Amino acid sequence: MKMKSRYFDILIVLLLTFVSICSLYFYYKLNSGLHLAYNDATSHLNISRRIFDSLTPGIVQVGSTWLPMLHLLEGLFTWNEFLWHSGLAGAFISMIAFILSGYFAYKIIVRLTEQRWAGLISVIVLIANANILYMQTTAMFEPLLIVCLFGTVYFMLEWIHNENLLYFIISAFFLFIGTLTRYDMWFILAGSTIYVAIYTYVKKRNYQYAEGHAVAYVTLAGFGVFLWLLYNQLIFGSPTYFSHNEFSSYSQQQELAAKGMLPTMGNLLLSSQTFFVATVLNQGIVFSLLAIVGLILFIADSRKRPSYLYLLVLVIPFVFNVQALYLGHSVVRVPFIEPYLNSFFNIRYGIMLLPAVVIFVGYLSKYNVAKFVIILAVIVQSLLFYSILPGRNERLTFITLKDTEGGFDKSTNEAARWLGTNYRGGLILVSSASSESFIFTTGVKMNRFITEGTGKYWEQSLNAPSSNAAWVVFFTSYSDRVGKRMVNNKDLESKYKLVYQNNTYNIYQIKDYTSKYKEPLVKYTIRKNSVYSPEIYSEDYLIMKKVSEIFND
Amino acid sequence: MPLFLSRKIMPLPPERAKVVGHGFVHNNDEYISHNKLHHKHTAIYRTNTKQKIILISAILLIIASFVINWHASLIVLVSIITTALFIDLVLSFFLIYRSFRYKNEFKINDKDISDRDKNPWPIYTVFCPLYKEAEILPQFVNAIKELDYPMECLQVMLLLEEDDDLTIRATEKLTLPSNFDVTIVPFSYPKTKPKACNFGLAKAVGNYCVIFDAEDIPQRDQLKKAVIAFEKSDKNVICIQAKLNFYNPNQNILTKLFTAEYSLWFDLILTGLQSMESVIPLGGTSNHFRTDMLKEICGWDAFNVTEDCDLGIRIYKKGYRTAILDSTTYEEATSHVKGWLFQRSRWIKGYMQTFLVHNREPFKGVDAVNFFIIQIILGSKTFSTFINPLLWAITIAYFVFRDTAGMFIESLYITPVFYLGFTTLIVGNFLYIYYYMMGCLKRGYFGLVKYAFLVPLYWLLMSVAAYIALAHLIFKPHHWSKTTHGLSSNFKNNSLSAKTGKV
Repeated sequence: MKMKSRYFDILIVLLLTFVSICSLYFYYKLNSGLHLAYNDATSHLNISRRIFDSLTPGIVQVGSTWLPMLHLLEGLFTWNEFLWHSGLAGAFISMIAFILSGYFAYKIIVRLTEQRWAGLISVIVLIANANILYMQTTAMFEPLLIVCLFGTVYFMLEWIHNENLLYFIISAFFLFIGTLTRYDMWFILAGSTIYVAIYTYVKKRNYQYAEGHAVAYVTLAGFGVFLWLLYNQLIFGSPTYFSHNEFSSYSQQQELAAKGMLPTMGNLLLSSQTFFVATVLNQGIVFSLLAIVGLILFIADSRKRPSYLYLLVLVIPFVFNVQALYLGHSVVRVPFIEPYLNSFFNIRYGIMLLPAVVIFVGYLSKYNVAKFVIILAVIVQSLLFYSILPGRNERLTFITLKDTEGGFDKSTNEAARWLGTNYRGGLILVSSASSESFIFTTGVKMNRFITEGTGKYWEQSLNAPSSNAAWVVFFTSYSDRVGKRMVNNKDLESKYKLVYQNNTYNIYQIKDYTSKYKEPLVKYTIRKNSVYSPEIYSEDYLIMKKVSEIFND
Repeated sequence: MPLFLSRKIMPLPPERAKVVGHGFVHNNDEYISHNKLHHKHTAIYRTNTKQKIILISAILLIIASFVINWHASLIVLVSIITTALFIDLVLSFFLIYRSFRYKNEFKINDKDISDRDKNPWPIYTVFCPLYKEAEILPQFVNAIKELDYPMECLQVMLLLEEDDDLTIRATEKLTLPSNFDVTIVPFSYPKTKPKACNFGLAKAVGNYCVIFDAEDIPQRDQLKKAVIAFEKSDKNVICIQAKLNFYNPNQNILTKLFTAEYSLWFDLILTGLQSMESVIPLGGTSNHFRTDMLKEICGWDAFNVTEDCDLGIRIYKKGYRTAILDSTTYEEATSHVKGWLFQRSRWIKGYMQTFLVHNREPFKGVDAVNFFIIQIILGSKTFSTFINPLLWAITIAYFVFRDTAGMFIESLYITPVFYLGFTTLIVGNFLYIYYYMMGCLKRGYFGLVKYAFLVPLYWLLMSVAAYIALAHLIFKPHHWSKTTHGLSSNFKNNSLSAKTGKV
């Protein structure tokens, strides 16, 4: 029986691995670089690469705009130039996260229901979600966050079940990784610690027992938060620098708020509505409905095993994102909700509820009748995701792909490609804060860029570009950090010539470039693609739009 | 005794040995060890000729390299130290992981004992070496009386020193049970606990034997558990180590931290080592032995002040094994800083002695893994107590005087070593603090978990003790810094249950 269980575990991992690789092949090969469609994906890959390969390499290159764990983990692969520029470095981390997520989901459901087939159904619900299948090929935060959430919950349940401290530690460890991945996990940290304190107190009615466990849990799980504050203090002089620097999401959102483009701020109803719709679009209508039913049944059943109520932490990402929208720390735009004027932005955040949906739908499958309903639901939801109902366009249209369109700029791609195909050497002055996608898409080595994180090179070059740079790149609007300093810059005017210009970028080249720089031209290999089909929507999306219109009326 | 001068060591002539016991003549002085352990396996001298040559060469090499290029030499030195500390960190992590992952210790339950009760129990010898501990003797007698073991199968040997009139008189005043033997160890040098134990070992009649310190309170069924564990284990398991912990953890901050440390050592590190079936440095007391085998390997090194640690390694090198028993002996944690410092300095000195003794023939009797473990457990861990204050000073200087000293300190670290050092500093220190927490949790001392945050202060004390130990190693290598007992606030309460209630 034990061996059978192990074989079943292996089969689950093989299934997840197979699906993961097929998905990568689909986006990487067949769609020629669609896995790099998010601009943020290229930013993450660049940041990771800079730790090793920069004019000034080092840990400081992780900056403070984003939490660093993804960049550090991607560093396991980005040291290799091909893996960096192909985006596979990021895909590998996300794929491992996806496979582990599926395995943990399976184990959680088996623990809850004591049925392996129910566990398998939860895995099928996971792999039927087109959004996570796409996201697990990208260099984005979401798959890593999801596996951290799954890992935290799974090992906590194991500790509750058999009291082995090792599981308690591993649960805290996943939370530690998670708190260095996304701020959502800081809320999970609070929720989990409170849970540990209450659970242990109720179990033994002993204050010291509860205190000891809560302190031990939060010490490891919260160590990431401590490290992040320490890093910000040591490098930037303030432990909370990440929250108020000019690139922080709060600062950026404040600019939007000033322009009246942050309607969720101060509006709890709209914040909840926005994130709810984003969640349903990411999870699918059918799965979302089943998850709600599963959640209700789970709570109803919890009287038998109240300790498993810990699973409710899975819905904390919803609370976190709603409060972030309400307080103006985050922005999500769902096009068919009134104030957003048909724009997409950050709708992918709704995928954070994936663990909750997979687990609560999976929980339903402990009832034999529900197993068949769920299999039917998987088929229907897949049809809705992929929009292959009769008469639909054959293009891929689910929401995480649509969400990439907001950041895609055709002229950025063209300008970067131009530089990549004409580059013969020399340093390039460009603002990484505004142009990560540009930097990545050029295909030029990272240590050829003078960006914000390069210390004295950056300072010198902003005053006199010719002191270091052969190329100067900035927005045609002069609105980026380099552009602002190039207005009436005598050094630029006298020593450089404008060699390329489009709607977005000016590219200046130092005079006599061809005589000074003679590196051989490198074959251009970067494949960054986009869906770029704004008029096509999935069935799922259209149904939600209709429902929303009915509610608005 | 000067550090680097070798003087011939001769065993005592047989006729003399018959009178005073086995031992050596060294530098015209007579040393009685009461066993036949060859001097090259003892700490009667610190280093042999080969070790002296290596040590002097290393010092000369370091001096020469500093003269030629002090900066490059510093970089190399910093790299070696950082790497060693990192390896120590990784090994500790590995051991603690294994201690949680695998069932590593003998767990004997009540049913096992009641089943075994149907057959007669073997004779067990309990050694209790005492020196100037008259006031603690009644507690020990009570603890032995409370043992769940047939008294007629128990031989208890109180090993008293000839010059300790006070304890001898106190023993005479007590009405001791009939199975207690008062054994007077004749006056001789070295005046150490292992010498007394060797004296007792020669007179032991038990199939098994164990050492308890005077202040020890073993769990009632420990002897029975040890017998069952021996009977269940392979013949090559000749030693079973019970766990040690304290009955006065809450007396003050020092005892809390000391308890956390013991919990980490006995409940996590030793069980981790056990999971690898590797060399186990024994803890001071509650080491149970097959008596005949202990005699075969010549008992304890009378010159080593951590004879337990040395014996643990010697057992392994002779091809035998040690197992861990899930039974605890409660002791009194030293509650005064001064007393703690001297106790700890003796332990560190003993670890240094043991390190030197077992590196005379470093590869004999051990495979590569266990050679490595000995170097880390005895060498690197001891070395880190010396180097820690310096590393903390460098770290503080780096951040406080970053503008002036920062560049220089950075220049000492090549990039990979810098990250290794940074990881060891941040993650390493965190992990070690966390290990203490885990030790407390596993032991069930939940109220002590939060005190693990104060452990860096405890490490500082350890470093002070390390420097005292170094001075003692050089100037009085066989001196035994006696720990004062009876300072615990609940010392007067002799009840095991009252003293060992969980915190």
